[in-house]
Amino acid sequence: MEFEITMADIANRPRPAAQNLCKRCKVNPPDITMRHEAICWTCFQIYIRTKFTRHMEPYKVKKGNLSTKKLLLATSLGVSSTVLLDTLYWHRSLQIERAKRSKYDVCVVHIDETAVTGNATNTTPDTAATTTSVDECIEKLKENYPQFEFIRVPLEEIYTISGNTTVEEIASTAAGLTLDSTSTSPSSSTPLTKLCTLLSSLNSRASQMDLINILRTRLLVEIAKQRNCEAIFFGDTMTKMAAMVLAEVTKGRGHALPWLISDGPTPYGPQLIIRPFRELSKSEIISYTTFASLWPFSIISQETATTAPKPPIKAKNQTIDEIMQKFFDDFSNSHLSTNVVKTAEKLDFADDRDRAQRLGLCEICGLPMDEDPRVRKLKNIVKVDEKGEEGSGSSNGSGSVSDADARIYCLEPPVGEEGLKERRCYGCRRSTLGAGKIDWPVNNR
Amino acid sequence: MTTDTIPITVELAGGLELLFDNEKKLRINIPAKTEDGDATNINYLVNYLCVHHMKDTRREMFEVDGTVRAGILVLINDADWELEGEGEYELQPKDTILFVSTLHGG
Amino acid sequence: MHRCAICQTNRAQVIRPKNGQKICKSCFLEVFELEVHTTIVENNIFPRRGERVAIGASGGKDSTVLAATLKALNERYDYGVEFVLLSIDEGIHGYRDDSLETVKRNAVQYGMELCIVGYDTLYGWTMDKVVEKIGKKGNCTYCGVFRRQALDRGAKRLDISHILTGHNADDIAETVLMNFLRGDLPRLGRCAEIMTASATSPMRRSKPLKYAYEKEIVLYAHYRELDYFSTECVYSPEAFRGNARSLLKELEKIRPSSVLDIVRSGEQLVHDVKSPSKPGCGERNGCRGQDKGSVSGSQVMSTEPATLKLLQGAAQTNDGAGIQTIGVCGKCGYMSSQPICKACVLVDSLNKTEPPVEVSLTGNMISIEVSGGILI
Repeated sequence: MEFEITMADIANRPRPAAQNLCKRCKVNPPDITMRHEAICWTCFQIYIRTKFTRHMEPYKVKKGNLSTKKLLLATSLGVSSTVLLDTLYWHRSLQIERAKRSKYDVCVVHIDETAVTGNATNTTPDTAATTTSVDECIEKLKENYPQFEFIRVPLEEIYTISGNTTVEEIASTAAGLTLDSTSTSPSSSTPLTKLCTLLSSLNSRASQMDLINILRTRLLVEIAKQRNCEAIFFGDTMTKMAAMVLAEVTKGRGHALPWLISDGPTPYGPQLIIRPFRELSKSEIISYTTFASLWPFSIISQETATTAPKPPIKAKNQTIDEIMQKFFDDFSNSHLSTNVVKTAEKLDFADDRDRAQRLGLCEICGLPMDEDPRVRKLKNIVKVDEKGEEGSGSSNGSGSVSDADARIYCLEPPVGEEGLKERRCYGCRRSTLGAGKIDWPVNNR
Repeated sequence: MTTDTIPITVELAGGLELLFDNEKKLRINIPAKTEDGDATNINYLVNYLCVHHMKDTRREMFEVDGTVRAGILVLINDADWELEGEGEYELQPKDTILFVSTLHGG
Repeated sequence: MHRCAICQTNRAQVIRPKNGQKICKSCFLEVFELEVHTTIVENNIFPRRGERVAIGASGGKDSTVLAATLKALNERYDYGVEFVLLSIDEGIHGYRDDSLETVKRNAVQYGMELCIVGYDTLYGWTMDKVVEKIGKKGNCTYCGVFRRQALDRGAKRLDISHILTGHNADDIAETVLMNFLRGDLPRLGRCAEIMTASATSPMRRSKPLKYAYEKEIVLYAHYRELDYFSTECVYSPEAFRGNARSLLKELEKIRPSSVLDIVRSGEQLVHDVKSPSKPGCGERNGCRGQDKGSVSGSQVMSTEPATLKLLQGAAQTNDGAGIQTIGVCGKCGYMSSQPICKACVLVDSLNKTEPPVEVSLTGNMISIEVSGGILI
């Protein structure tokens, strides 16, 4: 009798239990609702770490293989970078705890753009009052994550690093403008002035930030090369990547999407790009930051990150990336980011390798050039022309097509730069429109 | 305190006339100065039209954030308002200002 | 006062969104037409002299500008084609009646033959009756399916196999963004194509205004004093497209070329996604190898642009293999890839008293471009 009642009690239990306890462990009270599931902080952490660990397969400790790899962690000192740093630290500590050694060492690199952007971060304009300064933030990180190496490299180093500069030299100039005094070249051509000249020749802040994004990535790859880092880790979330996809589409770089968003080697070199948070949303990362008390280790304040984004700066002075980030940060659009990223991931350019060989790389972004419109258009013509008899037409000579490129897209090359179309992709021609001849610091190999 | 007014012509097209009781052309006299004593500009006119002439209640179909809604083309004496300083353009007597929506079905 | 950057004489009245050029009214009209002409020539839109071509005409700004420009260009450059205005009467009171009057005037103004096809005669249902039956929600799906076939049927009735539509650069850019947001890969791969041929339709469809900004179309209509009708479809909620549209408008504000740049990106995606004859294939990874369109595509890709003959050979075999799936609808006898065509399925559901069927948005027939009275 008593026994039966107990059974009935148990049978009735799951309903209230499901409401009051974490859906996953069914032990702790829930702390967060994640993808329609109320779960506890511990399970949430497991979830984040599981998603992360999936990308760490090549960096597992293996028996009999004592080699150590070097990884570069790129940090903007924003929330996602900080959570990634923390998670990587956890992962490495776990290896040491279990195997008494780690498969990898980590060098954390912050590219300092303050000299050219005049602000602490490029993505989220933050008020000085709510911002921890970059220096302060890096000091705190060094203290909290003592086994990682930290370096801060000014963006303008891109002008010297791809030349003969050695790692030591970079480190010594990491403080910024100290190069000026030691350099034999006239001060008018310091890396910083070169960079400023380049940026000031561009017609909008949108174009400037576009090229700064490219330079940042390329500088990181160069640093990785010099420091023998096998891979570069980025904290990009699904939300950020969705914004990236549509921003690059908007800049006319649809042809380069797979290169821009997929993990793996880049045309810049064999160094791998890895984004372990690519399946996580920005709001999940923000929640994690709060649970793990990581706010002090980011230059973004909790308040800034969690309140609705206000239209930054002067509306006309926004960048394409900022508009897209704002779009996906908006809660009502957040669910769309999955669609965008998954769709972009499916664009696995079958002809890509071939295209890079045939057409070469863009001299600015370093990604494979876009398809010559002649080929593309011819293909479109023949596709619909079922009989294939009259598809040619006399008008498809190469001369008239290149005229069309200028006439239809209105991207006339500047005087003296007539062959630009063959060297610079559409998106980079758009961002450098009207800039004249530019002194671009990196060459493709 | 001045009561000077400027005579101007306002034209509405591309579906916007529907917000103004199907009036395609309004000849109006608009105050030469705003309440703050500034010269009357296009942004002021946009608000003025909403207050004094719009018959439809959907103000947001015409005005957003103190200027015309994106997607409405403004021609000042038949020239794109971007050439004339957009919302800051100060109205002159006998100006013709055309508002034409690009948003409606084609 | 700004002087025109082209003629250096007249007062500039227009800023071109494509490159910020400030030009006068007459130079603007000239460049606008020249660009449409270039688009036509470069894409070989009129390959056969003597062909009769339908212009999908709604009486709105886009199709009116399309008809006006084409009339002028056909006379100036002698394409040798004959245009017919083809209008669809959806049976929406207060929307279509007025716009059809505009189309009738256009037919006289441009000296073009006019053919009006009504939903009531084709399907036994006007949109007003459809809405009465199913409500406003989801009616755009019906309208879109009906309209796509209606244009085809109308054209067929006229013995025409090529339909021109008034889609502009903004429409295409919006559609590219929207297909990303919806995660619709197959559509993403073809929405920026200037010409499409579908397995379920023998019709060619072209968009000669593909590179023309909406803003410039409105300016063109204004300066040419064209007679067009503008009102929103009374049933169009503009929901999802509105989202992509406001995003586009914001982008255009900071970089006016964005619209065109998105079109360009869309074009670059065309050859990465499956051929239109096999919808849905692109949704799965790993089927690329079996897809004939893709194989042919890479052949084209690896061929030098000059070797035109070879290209055509490749495309020919592809086309031969790709078109085999066309059947006819068991009900209406119209071309369909399914035993019963989508329009008949919808009509059946309307004729029954049951709740309306859910229409798959990933199918081949329904066009995405169903908003705002744009003819597809």
